[in-house]
Amino acid sequence: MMERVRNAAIVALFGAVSAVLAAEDAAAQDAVAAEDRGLAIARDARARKQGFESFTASQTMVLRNRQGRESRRHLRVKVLEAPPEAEGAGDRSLFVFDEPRDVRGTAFLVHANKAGPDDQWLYLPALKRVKRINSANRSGSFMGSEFAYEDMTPPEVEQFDYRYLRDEACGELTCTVVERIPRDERSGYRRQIVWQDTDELRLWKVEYYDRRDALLKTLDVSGYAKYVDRYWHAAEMSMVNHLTGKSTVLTWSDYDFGAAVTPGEFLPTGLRRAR
Amino acid sequence: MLAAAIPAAGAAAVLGSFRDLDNATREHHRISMRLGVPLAVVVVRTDRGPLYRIVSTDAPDEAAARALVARARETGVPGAWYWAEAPLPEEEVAVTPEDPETAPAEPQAVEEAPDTQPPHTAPDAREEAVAARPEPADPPGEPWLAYHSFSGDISLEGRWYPDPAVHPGQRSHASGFVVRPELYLEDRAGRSLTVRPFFRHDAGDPRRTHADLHEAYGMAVGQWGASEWELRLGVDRVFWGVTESQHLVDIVNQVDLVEHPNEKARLGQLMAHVTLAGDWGALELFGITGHRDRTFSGRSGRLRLPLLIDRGATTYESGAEEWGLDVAARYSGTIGAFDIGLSVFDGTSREPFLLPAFNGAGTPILAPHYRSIRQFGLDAQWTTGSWLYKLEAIHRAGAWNLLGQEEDYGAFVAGGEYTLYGLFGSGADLGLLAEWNYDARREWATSRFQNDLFVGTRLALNDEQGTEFIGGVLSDLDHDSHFVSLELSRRLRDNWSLEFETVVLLNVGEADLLYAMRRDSFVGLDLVYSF
Repeated sequence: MMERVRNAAIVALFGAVSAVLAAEDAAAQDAVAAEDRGLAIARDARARKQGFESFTASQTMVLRNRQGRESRRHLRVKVLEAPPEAEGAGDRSLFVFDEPRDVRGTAFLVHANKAGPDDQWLYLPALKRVKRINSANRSGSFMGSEFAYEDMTPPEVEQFDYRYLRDEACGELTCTVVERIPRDERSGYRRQIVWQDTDELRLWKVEYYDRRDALLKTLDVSGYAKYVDRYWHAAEMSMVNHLTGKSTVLTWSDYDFGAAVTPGEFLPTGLRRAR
Repeated sequence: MLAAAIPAAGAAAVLGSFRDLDNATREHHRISMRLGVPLAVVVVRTDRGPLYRIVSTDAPDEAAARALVARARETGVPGAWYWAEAPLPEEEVAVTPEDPETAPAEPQAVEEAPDTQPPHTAPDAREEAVAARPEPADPPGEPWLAYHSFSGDISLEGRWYPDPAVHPGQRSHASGFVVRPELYLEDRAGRSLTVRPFFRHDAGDPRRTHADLHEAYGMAVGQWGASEWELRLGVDRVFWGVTESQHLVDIVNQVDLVEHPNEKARLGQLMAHVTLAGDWGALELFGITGHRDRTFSGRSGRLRLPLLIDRGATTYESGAEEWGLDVAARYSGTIGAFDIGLSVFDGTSREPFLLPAFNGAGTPILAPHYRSIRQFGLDAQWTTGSWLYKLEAIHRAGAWNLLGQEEDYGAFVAGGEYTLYGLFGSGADLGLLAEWNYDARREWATSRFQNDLFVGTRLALNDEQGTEFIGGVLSDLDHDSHFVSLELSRRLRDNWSLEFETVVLLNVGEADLLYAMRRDSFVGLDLVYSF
């Protein structure tokens, strides 16, 4: 009798354990599925942006502090896409500053790397000096704005881990909501939540959470237009810092996809003639 | 690349015409990217040789061709036109996919204006073509000018020396203004001209009132295999090196010493400068002539020796004097986290040896004498985590030591910089620097950096005003001298900024080269307007 009870208990215990294990397994599978789906969305979004080879554009930033005082930045951006055969190398971006006038002619070059830190150089026109700089500044403010350096260059898929969260309505569109976690420990963010519409995977909103997982900034993107019948690009990006109350509105103009740029412009020696 | 057949007859849009196939190929790629339609490059035989045209391959009729031309003009292909009937049999040219490594250098791709119609075009087709062509987009007076800019800054500067002067005649202030305009012109082929004069007026020291042509050079850029070449001809400034306390390997340009005692301001230098660069690094060759004399303070200026330096009495070891040919070469490259530069310079030294002499009036003076030297230089930086590790080293042959004897020597600067990003949760960055400067000649070194330790800090607030603070102490370990420098800069409004600086000379040892300047600590304030 006791034997039977004990056996029943053991069976019950086993059942309970395996039920727990099965539940954990299912949860783990769901988690894996969410990661796979998040990564697939990131890859798809990236693939839709690829093949442009190069583009140039102008950026105007209006910085607004808590008191409403404004200051302006103007810069020009050039991006050279990594050739498809490039293994670990990502896109190359060049920023040339026009305003404020005291930093006119200063140029900033980034060679993105899919794994590991980016390579960055700064050109200081007063001394005609090209300076290799630390990429540990990723989380630092770009030109005193609410955009960090890491927000300014096109993100590489490999720089994040992903988790699909949900689909939800965003305006008239449906958006897919994905969490992405920067792999680089020097990133200023613990995670980002990204809203992209399901039609074209255009980015509409990003919430940035700081290292302590507090909501730090929100980016709202608007004014999408299609270029060369293929690439969707926004006209306005508005970044609000919830901790400081400051905001920056970044306006894009003069998009030129497939612009005539040369690889030499994206070398440290080419920085010396950046304009 | 193109599967679509080109039209044997019927309408076609012509989106560009080139004498050079490479240019046509490149533009073909760019325009088809922009328009998102398949295009072909065809060759037309003309009396002046082959002409390569970029034509549409899928415009079935005149209306479609016209529509494509209109769209092309809207998207920045002003030279587009079309014909209603294909005038001639044409051959399609194989267009290879554009390889970014060999993409051409000219930022302005259109090197040639759209062609005039080749002579053997059917008359009615020519009329059609002429009617469809746009007005030239450029003002007729300057069709070559693609881009120009005029910029620069003007600053009001004041410098005060609170301590009483050591030498007779020296004033306690140096106030005035500086003008630094820059004109830049670029033509359609990407060739450019840069002119950047400099002028300082100083009410305290007439010798510090000086003008210089910092830059006046023409530049051309092109492609050579997978690499890029750049040629600069004229007066230019070149910077080599990585360290902060001293620019040891940087030798191409003469020091403009009246500007600042830190020896970092430089004069323009006449040279031919060729760069060949690629992902493998950069090789630069320099041919330099027109040696510049170092500038020195006058009688009423501070920061000088007891005897005046008479630049009129300058002598050279080289028989060609200042018109000898100096040559230099440099390789620089990046291997992962390492940046390395290797350089060699052979020519007249930028550093004068000061010979005691008498001028015509019998007054004792110092006469600059420039030796012919050869210098090998190394500069390297390791960029890792929050650290930058830096090294500059030279070996110089042919120079004189402080005793006036020829002595080959080595010197180096080694150090590092650690940056704390986002200090205390703010947006500010704090950098900590330490560099050791050493010259193997020690007490007979002509450089004041014979055994000096620099410890400094850099604070960047990363605010809207770009506020920056740089401070440091340079300690001479042999002579127990200490120099403290502090710099603060901040933008006031969009075009205005303020720079404050102080250099304090503490405790200058009697054996120190700067003993004659021991009471020349100063405070400076600059108000800068940039345009």
